[in-house]
Amino acid sequence: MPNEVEILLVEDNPSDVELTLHAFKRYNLTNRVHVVRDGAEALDFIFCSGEYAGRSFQNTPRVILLDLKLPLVDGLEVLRRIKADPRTRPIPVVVLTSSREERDIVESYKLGVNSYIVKPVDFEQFTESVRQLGLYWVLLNEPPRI
Amino acid sequence: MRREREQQIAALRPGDHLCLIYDNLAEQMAAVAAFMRDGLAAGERCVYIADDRTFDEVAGGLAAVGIDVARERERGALLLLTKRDTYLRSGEFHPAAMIALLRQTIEDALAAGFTGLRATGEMTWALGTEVGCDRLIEYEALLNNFFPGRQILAICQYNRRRFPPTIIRDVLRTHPIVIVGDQVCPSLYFEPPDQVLGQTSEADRVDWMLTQLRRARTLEEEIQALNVSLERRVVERTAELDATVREREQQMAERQRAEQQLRLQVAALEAAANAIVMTDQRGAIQWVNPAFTRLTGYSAAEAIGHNPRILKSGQMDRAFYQGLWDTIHAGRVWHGDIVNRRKDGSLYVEEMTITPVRDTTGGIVNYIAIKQDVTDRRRAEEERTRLLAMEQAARTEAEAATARLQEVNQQLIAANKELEGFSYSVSHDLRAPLRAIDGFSRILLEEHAPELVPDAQRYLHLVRNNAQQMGRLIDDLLAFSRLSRQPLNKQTVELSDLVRQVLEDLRAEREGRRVEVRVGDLPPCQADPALLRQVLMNLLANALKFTRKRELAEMEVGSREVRGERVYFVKDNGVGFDMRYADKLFGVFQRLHRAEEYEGTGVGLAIVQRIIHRHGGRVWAEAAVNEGATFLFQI
Repeated sequence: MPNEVEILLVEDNPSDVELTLHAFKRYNLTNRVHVVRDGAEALDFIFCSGEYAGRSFQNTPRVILLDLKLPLVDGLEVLRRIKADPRTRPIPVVVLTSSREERDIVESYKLGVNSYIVKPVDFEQFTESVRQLGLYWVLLNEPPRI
Repeated sequence: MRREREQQIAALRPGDHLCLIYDNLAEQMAAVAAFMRDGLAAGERCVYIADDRTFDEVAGGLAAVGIDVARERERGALLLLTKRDTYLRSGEFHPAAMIALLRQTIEDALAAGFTGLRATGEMTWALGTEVGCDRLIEYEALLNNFFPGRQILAICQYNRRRFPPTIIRDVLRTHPIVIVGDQVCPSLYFEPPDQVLGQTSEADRVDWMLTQLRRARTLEEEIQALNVSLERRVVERTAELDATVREREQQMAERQRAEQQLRLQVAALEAAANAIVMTDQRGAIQWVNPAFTRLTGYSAAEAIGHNPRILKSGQMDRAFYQGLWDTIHAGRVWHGDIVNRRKDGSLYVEEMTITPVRDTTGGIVNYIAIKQDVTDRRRAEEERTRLLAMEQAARTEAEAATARLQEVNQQLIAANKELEGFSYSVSHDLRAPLRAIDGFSRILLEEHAPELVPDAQRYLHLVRNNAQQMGRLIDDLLAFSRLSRQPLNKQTVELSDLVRQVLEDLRAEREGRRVEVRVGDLPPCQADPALLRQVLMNLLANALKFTRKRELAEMEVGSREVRGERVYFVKDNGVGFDMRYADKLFGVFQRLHRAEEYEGTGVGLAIVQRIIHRHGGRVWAEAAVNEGATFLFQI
C-alpha cells in the first residue's frame, strides 16, 4: 500500500531528525518514515485527530521512535497515552534517549516501552531493536518499492 | 423532829386553840418560844401569862430562840402577865368575864396596829384555888365557840406532873389541837363544847362516837390514800428528778464537749502557722496568736489594745487602706497583699484575709485577719516570671532560628530541584549539538572522504575527538553532581567482592598487558555499595592507567590498622606524581598529567573524594614522581 507509514519518528531536534533519516537512507526506509516535531502532533497523528483527522486508524505505524524531551507534550506522556488505549497499545514504541538519566529509563519501562536506543541513532542499534521487536523482515528486508 | 414541830407551829392559823401537854421546862419552852417568835414575826401582839415559871425563866426561854425580849416588851408587842392581871383580875374566875377580856385584848391589839393576838398561859394558876377544875373545863369548852373567825390563837399549857389525869383527859376533850412532845396533832378526842358541858343526850354522844369512828376510819383511808398518792408523787418526783439529773448530765457533757472543742480550736489558732489577729469593731486588737509575734515582732501584750496600723509601712497609699476599710465595713471579706513593717523596721509582704464577724443581730462586732508572710514567695514568683520571660524569649529566638533554618532548607530543596532540572536539561540539551557535530563529521568522513584533502580529514577527526571528549566531560560532571543529590544507602559491604567485580569490569583495559594484582585483607565496612564500587572503580582504573608504561604493572588493594582506624588503600607502581600538587589531586577537572599522555576528564578523583566525604570518611594520597602512588581512604 503506497504511502503507508511504517515508522513514526517523534523528534524535535532538526539535526537529530536529519542524522536519523541519514542512517535510514541506505536502507531506503526514509520515505516510509513520517516525522512529527512535538508531542501534541504525535498524539494527533497516532489518534487521527487535529490535522491528522482524515487519517485512518487502520493505517497504524509499524513502530514509533519516540524522543522523551519534546515540546508541548513530553515523550513520557505520549507513551502513557499510547499504552493506555487498547487500539494503540500493540504498536511497538522505541524510546530515543540522549542521556543516561536513570529515572527516564525506569519510568519508560513502567509505562510499557518496548525498547530503548541511545542517541544519536546508531543504525546498528536500531536494527538490533527492530530485530528484537520481530519487525525485522517487515521493515528492513522488504524489497524496496520502486 | 423539832424542825417538824416548828414547821407545824408555823402552820397554825388565827382561830386555832391548842393545848401543850409537857413534862419539863425544855419541852415547854421549845414549843412556846417558837410559837411566840412566829407571832412577833407576823406582827401580832403576843401575851404570855406566867404562873409556874418566873418572868426571868420565860424571858430566857424566849431569848434562846432569838427574841429581843426587852425591845419587844418595850414596843408593846410582847406582854408578860400573871393570873392576877388576867384570870383572877376580879379576884375570882368567871369564864364569861375572861372571854370578854380576851375580846377586849384582841381589839386593843388590832387598835394598837398589830395584826392579831397570840396568847399562851401556864394553866397551873387554876390549881390550889377555889376556882375548881369544873369551871376551868367549862372555860376551855366555851373558847371553842369564841375562837373561830377571830384574830386570836392560843396555847394552853398543862404540866402533866401537876394536873391529875382526869383534868388532862378533859383538856384533851376541849382542845382541837394538841402539842405533845415533838408533835402537833389534831385531837381525836376533841368534843363539841355542848357535849363537854353535859348539855347533850347519851344518844347524841353515841352518834358523836360513831361519827368519830367513821372519821378515824376516813382519816386512816385518807392517810392511806395520801400515802399512795405520796408514794406515787415520790416515784414521779424521783423520775422527774432522774430526768432532770440526766438532762443536767447531758447538758454538762455537752458543755464539756463544747469546752473541749473550744480548747482545741484555741489550741489550733495558737498553733497556726499563719498569723491571726482579732479586733473589735473599731479595729482595736483583742487577741493575736504566737505566729503573729513571729511575723511582726510584736508580742501579744504589745499588740493588744492597739490598732493594726502599728504595722503600717508607708508603702501603701491612702486609697488602698480606704478600699480595705470600705470592703470590711460593708461586711465583705477583704483579701490581698500588703507591704507592712515589722517592729524592727524591716519591710515584708503579707497576704491577708480579713473576715468581718457578725453577732446574732447581724451587726459587725469583730474582724479576724489571717496573715501570711509571702515575701519569699513573691520574690520567687517574680523570679519565675523573669525566667519564663527569658525562656519565652529564648523559645521565640529558637523558633525564629528554626523558621530561618526551614526557610534555608526550603531554599536548599528548591535549589536542589533547580539543580536537578538544570542537570536534566544539560544532559539532554547540551549533548544535542555535540551529537550533531559528531554525527555530521562522521557522515563527512564516511561518505565524502574522497573529496577531502588529508588535512581536512585530520581536522574532522579532531572535531569528532573533541566533541566526544566534551560528551564524556558532560557525563562525568552529571555523575559528579548526581552524587550530592542521591540518598546514601548504607549497609554492610564486602569489599573483597566489590574489588573482584571491578577487576572483572576492567578486564578489557588489562588486555595485552602484564598486570599483577594483589588483593590483601579487606574487612567489610558500612557503606553504600554502589557508591563504594564507583570509588574502587575509579581508583583501580587510575592505577591501571598510570602503570601503562610499566613492563609489569603492579597493583595492590588492602587495608591496615592505623591508630585504631581501618584504612583501605590502592597502591600501584605507576608514574606517580609530585606531592607538591597533592592538594589539587581531588579537585574537579584538575589533572596532573597531559591529556595526550593519559586521557581523562579530571573528574574521577573528585568523585572519589565526594563519595568518601559523604560517608563521613577521608581520602588522601602518597606518591612520588615515577615511584608509584598510593591512595588511602578511611570510611
